[in-house]
Amino acid sequence: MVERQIYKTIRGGHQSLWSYLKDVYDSRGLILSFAIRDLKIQYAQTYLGIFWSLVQPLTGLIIFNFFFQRVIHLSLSVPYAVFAFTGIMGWFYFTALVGQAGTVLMANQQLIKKINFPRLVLPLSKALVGLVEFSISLMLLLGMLLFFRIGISSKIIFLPLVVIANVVTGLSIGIWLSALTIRFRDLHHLIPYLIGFGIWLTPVFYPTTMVPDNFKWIYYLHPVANVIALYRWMFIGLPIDFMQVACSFTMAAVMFIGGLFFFVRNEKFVADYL
Amino acid sequence: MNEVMLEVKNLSKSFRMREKRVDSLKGSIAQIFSSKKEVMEDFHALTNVSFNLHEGEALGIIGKNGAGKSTLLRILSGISQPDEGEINFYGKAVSILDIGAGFHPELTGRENIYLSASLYKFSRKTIEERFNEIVAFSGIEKFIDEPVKNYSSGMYLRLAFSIITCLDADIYLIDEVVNVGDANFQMKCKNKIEELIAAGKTLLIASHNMNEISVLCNRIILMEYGKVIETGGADIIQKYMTIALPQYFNFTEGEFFHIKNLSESPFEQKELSIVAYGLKDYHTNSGGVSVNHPFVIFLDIELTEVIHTEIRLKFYDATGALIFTCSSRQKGTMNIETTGKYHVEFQIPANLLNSRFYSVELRAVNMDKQTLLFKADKFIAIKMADDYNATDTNRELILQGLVKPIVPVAITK
Repeated sequence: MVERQIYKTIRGGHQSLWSYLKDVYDSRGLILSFAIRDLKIQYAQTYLGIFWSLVQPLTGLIIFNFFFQRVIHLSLSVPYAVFAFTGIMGWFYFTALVGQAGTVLMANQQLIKKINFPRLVLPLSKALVGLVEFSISLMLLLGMLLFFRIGISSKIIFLPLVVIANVVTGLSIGIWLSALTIRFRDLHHLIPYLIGFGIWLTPVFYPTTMVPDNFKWIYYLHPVANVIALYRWMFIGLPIDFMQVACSFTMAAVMFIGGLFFFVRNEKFVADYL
Repeated sequence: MNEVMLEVKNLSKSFRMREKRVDSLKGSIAQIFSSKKEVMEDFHALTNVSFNLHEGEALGIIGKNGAGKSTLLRILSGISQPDEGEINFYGKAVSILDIGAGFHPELTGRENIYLSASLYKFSRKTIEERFNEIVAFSGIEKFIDEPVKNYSSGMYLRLAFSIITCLDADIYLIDEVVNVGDANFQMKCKNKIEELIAAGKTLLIASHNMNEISVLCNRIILMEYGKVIETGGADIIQKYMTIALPQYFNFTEGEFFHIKNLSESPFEQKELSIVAYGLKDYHTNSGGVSVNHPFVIFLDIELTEVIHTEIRLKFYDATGALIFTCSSRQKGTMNIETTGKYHVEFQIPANLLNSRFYSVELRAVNMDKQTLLFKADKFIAIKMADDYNATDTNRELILQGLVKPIVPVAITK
């Protein structure tokens, strides 16, 4: 008998990260489909639609605006609202990735048990959903910059890179969580508290100048703080420590790649654990 | 033999079952500090499963719940991974483990079609070409832009199924999907599967519906405890019944019927007591009770009150399909009404039953009040066989159909 061409082989053992990423790339249409699905579902039958995504950051902004302007009397070179919103924007995208990516496999278990597709598509689709919501916030920020006559610096050309850094930072934790929550359901409950706690470790509502010098080393290990610092550097011209940026982003990149490996190793067992 | 389309070699899969499954951080941390060695038990969902699927073949997989059918299909679909073994596909495979799995209730029919299409890796072009065809097949043109949560369950199924019919592959892996929906929908599913078979596609179907399996599949694999225990034709279904309902159909060598002990019945025998019962005047052959001879099911009963009584026997096949009912109340038979002892004989004609397992249910009914005096499920289980090919397992000859009357044939030229 003539050897026939094998179309596909399934075997035990692990898929290489490279061939897995190729599968993910082949499923890019699915990433988009899931993102569109989520956006439609989230904002279906609402009057404000996608603009609901602004409500949470804006309420935060109003509360902290009151607190830091009336109670603490912060002096900044730019209006506090603009300062705080640059932080909120990055932080919310980050938390959306951590929170959503962390739970996305659990939320789609029916699908995972019945249809085969690269599971990484699910957290990635959440990154896309977050990007849409982020863009709405960005519009608002640009509006604020014009309203307060701050203007838009030419440094905005770095925006895509900073957004990518924002996404990678979020996924570096989100991917780990999404693979781990399958085994350890506790994380599902823990995530909101970690996020709620994290905002105080991150200069979202306060400037780093308020932080005592002997705590500043934290920012070498804090990628999100540096993402926010980059937004502030781009939009309102605050100074930045590139050493901190490089150091913390390297850490995030290592976490991200490690997360990818971990995810791929566990991918085929997800259906068994659900 | 046609060429191999799918090769499954020594497939094994086990799940770790801990004495207490650790699913929490607390448990995991506690375990690190615990001096006790964790007790682990492996649950072998699949052990050394091997089979080939040839081009144009429809292979059925049967087995009890937990026999490993779904695990096998999940592994074949790539959803789960085998511990050992190898699967080679010699063509494009598509798996249908559930219909409407990718559907979201908030999305419209149209949006769901597109979403499912990308889940099943249709190209954009295919879906656009086929969109109208899908909608027409589902017959819900009017509601295509309504969210599917507003659909009736029938509409939902029709749409989901229409998408699947547009899947184009060489090998289809199907799990139990054809057993949902109304009669019309089931018929549609079955026709579609028959169409695929006619088109020379290769199919693997896991199902609990034995009739369907016996009609659709030309080869059947029986699984039990994660192993393939037998491969063959439709006779495997009989084998399956001995495993699925061993209390009734597990006949030992040379034993062809079981008679249940009615004293264990939950029905109290007050007005009516059943004194003796059983089979008589039967012939046997090497395979079972002969279908070519008549036999008698008899009952000795005693009425202690005056009740107008009817005795009924209901014949079921092994899968639970009702074949026929016979009643003691017929033109010319004695009425069972006054107190005393009665001997009732049901004479089952020759050449009526097929070479199959049958079970008989007994009912005694108070005709005036239309209440049940006595009832016993499967009070007799019989293994029937044809004298001419009692041990022949060629399904074409013996197993098509629930009954096998002799139909006179006239051929002229």
